[in-house]
Amino acid sequence: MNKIDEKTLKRVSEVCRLKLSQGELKEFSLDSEKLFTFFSKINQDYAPKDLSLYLTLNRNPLRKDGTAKTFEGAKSILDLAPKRSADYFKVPKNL
Amino acid sequence: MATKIGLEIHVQLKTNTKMFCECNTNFLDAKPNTLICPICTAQPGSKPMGINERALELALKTALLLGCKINTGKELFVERKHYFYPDLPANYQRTSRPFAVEGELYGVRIREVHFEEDPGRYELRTGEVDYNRSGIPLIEIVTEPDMKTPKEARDFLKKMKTVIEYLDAAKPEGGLFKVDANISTDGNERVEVKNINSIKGVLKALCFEEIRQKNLARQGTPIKKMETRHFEDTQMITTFLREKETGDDYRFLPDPDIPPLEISAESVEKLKQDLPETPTTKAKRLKEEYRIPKLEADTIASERDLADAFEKVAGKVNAKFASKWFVNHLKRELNFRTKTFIESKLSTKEITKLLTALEKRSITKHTGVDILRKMLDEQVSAKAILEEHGGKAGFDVDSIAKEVMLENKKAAEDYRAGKTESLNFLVGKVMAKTKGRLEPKQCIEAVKKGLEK
Amino acid sequence: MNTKTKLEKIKSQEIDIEEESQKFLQKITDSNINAFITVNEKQVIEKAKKLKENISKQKAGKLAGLLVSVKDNIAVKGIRMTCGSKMLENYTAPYNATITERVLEEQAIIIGKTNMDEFACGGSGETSFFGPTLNPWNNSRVPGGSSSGAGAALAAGLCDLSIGSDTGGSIRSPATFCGVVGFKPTYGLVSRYGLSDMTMGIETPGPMARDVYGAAILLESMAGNDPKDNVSTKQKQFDFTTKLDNFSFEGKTIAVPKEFFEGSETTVSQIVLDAVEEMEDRGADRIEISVPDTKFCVATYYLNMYAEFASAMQKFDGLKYGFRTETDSTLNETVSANREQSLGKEVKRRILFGTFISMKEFQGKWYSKALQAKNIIKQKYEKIFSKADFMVSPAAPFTAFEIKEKIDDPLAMYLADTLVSFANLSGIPAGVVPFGFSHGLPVGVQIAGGQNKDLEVLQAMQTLELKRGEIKWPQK
Repeated sequence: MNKIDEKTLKRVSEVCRLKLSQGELKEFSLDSEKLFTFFSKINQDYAPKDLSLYLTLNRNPLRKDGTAKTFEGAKSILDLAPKRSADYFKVPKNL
Repeated sequence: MATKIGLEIHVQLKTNTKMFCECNTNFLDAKPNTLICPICTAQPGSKPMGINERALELALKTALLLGCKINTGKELFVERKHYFYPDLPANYQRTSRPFAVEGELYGVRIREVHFEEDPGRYELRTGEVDYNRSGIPLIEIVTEPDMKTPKEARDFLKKMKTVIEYLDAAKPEGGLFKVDANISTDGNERVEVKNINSIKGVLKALCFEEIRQKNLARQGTPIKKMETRHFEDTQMITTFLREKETGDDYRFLPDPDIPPLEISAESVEKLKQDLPETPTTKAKRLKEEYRIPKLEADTIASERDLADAFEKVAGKVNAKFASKWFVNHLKRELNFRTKTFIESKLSTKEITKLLTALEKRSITKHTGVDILRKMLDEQVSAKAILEEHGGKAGFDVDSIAKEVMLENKKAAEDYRAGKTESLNFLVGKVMAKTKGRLEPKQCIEAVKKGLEK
Repeated sequence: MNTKTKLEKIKSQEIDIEEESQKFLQKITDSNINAFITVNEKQVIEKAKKLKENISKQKAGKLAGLLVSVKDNIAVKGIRMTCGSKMLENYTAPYNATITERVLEEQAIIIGKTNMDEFACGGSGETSFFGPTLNPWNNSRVPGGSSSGAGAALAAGLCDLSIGSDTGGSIRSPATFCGVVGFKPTYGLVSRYGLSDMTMGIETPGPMARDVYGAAILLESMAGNDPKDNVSTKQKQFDFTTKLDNFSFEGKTIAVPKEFFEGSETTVSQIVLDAVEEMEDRGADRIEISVPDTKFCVATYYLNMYAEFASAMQKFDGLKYGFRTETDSTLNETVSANREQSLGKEVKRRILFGTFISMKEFQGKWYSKALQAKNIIKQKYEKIFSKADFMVSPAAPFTAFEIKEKIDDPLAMYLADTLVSFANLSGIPAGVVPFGFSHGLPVGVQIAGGQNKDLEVLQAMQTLELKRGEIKWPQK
């Protein structure tokens, strides 16, 4: 059974912070059947092998701890805040 | 079934730049949201830069000092740990797999050590967020739940602090540690208290939790499900977080933007050569090398700079004498002023001068303490004060006694002839010359010595 | 006029850059294909003026005076960057992508940000919050995606060069549907710093142009090591233009993958096979090969993409930037509402399924397997290119399809990527060069090569282009 039921999808949607409507849950659940049935092509037995997770051959991405730099656009980053309180980003409270 | 306590200790590593970007790490001095860039604020399209090399070096050294085994010869991934929280700009935290395991410090086992980036600062009460801290390099030390009382946990943290200070691995300002403490009582589920910012706080939080948990058990509702709580440092209590800061399932994903590290055995060997002594080994060595009591050696070794100063001084003055003075006077005066040795700005040269004068008895113990205090509070040099008290290097009481006897030959002869009062006369002269700064005993001995010749 | 000639005429001042820029801006205003989300009007004129003054005095940059469009998921400082989404409708990029910097250093003029499928989730341009882009060859057809505006703008003559991005075919799909050149470089050749994350482990920015030379010189300007991208090549500079014409098919081996042709429309297949014949006429050897099932590739691509995409999209919570609902609510409620109200259906679908397969309880069944499958595909293609110099195939099984034809069927949409995702999963270079028409719609030939054989692939494309001759571009 490749379909993801609505109950599971609701749980998943909470994990990824998507407030889905009942209609959306239903639709995505139906989609999941079609899509995951298609995806099940990959359900084979693979010979255990060293998985290379990266396409790049680069290793040890290290950077010297040099002099600190000031990013000149820091102000423009703060200006992007949808809600702001003086020099702070303003978000809902949690206490 | 006893209380079990385990700690996750986060330490900010002493670097110029952040873990994955070149922003400044001096967040204490900065206005909010000024030490930021597209990378540490997760702007769309931004990518992490290479891992801060110094952070990695300090992390490895710390793990080595904690007696850990380093995982060499295999790939070390930096993963994304996903959870939604306002202090985490990308809503995932970049954190490495453990690079070191199976260490031990003062009887507490270290389960693993890894490095990660600091989230920003989210003030829960006001909803204000500052990303200056976001991306700062952290090391996380995870212990086994080997501690049995809150006091044990506090003592362990104090020792951990010393080790880290020894390495000069951490940014000392702004609180050395951020601790997540896990505590379970009587075999029940554990409670995690997150983000405690001081060692004292850890003690208070754990004491509070232990009592709270035992009370609940007594009422018939023991902790059966793992719980996450927040420590209110103003009220010294723990509270249940309305919305959990972290997830149950972090969906760890090796970060596609950070190819793996491979720590070689050779590089670890090299680092080992570069390590300082631990406080324990240093104390042991001081005890044996200088033949000082264990308690004194431990006290001196508890602060690396203090120990270094001691060793310099002990080369020039009697080591046992110096040790006693360091412990009974210097450390005491420093503690009273809540200053570390390094903060006091005392030089070993000055200390040596002072101790030499004390050893020679050219100044009294009492005067010595006064001088030390002046040096600490007024930052006057020892030389200057000693000169003020009389004499370049204090009083050379033996030569003054000689002088007096030459000037008062008759009195000297009288004493040799049996007139004991003449001794007092001569001592009086010596005391006059030394302006009463020396102890009478010293003067008497000096005169007696001179008369015997 | 081809790119090389235009560059020369700009340098010699035969072309007045300011006039040219005005002309293009006017064309964009008059255009109905919705290729651009933001047009850089004021800055374009200013830049053109400045460049005009200096063009004769100093050494001209490689792209001096050319009007370059940038896909709207790539950062251009001070310009709106929407990624085709309501979530970033009012977001202004506070920094330049590395490739933006480089292109500006070469004196290109950035004319605007092009339309795209929302957060690159699509192959037709129809998922953009800003409305679909239309195919200039036939306005009732899609231009391909997700770099839809980038491809369409070139075909419509609204810019000289385009920068796009290719995660699962997003440069090559619009290239073949719009009859332009599109090139996906070897993974790591071009810095991704400043390209909004979609599937970080396989995606790359890439050049698009009306001719191969244009794509080559744009690639040359962008390529090279970047300390801000840990996967980028170690090599600092590249030359893709000096030797572009120094090429012969003599002695080269061309692999023809039968699976790629089996599912394709006859006319499409025929045009591509004509190209193969052309190569053989010039001395190449042809070998028939069998490749991993193309549907297996698509499945692998989507599962890997879902997981990385879900991770990449976590940052969009409306708290630091982006769409924020007005209601004052709890933390979780606010974040959920921000995302729900500003993200489109396909984006939500992918986040949802990506989160699902990343969860501990479901990982083993889907994501772990997908990682294995990716490895298999990479190894198989490595083997192919140890035996062949190039693999030639269609880039899509059909020509541009009708708008709305596939949008309600995600699977059908996904299958449009059948013939392109192999290159992303393997990291190898692949380019599309237009070679024919079928019922008035362009058909491109896809040429893929081994790892780091970017120049060779471009050379092969160039040779084909010379054979093909001029294209009669659509009027709108």
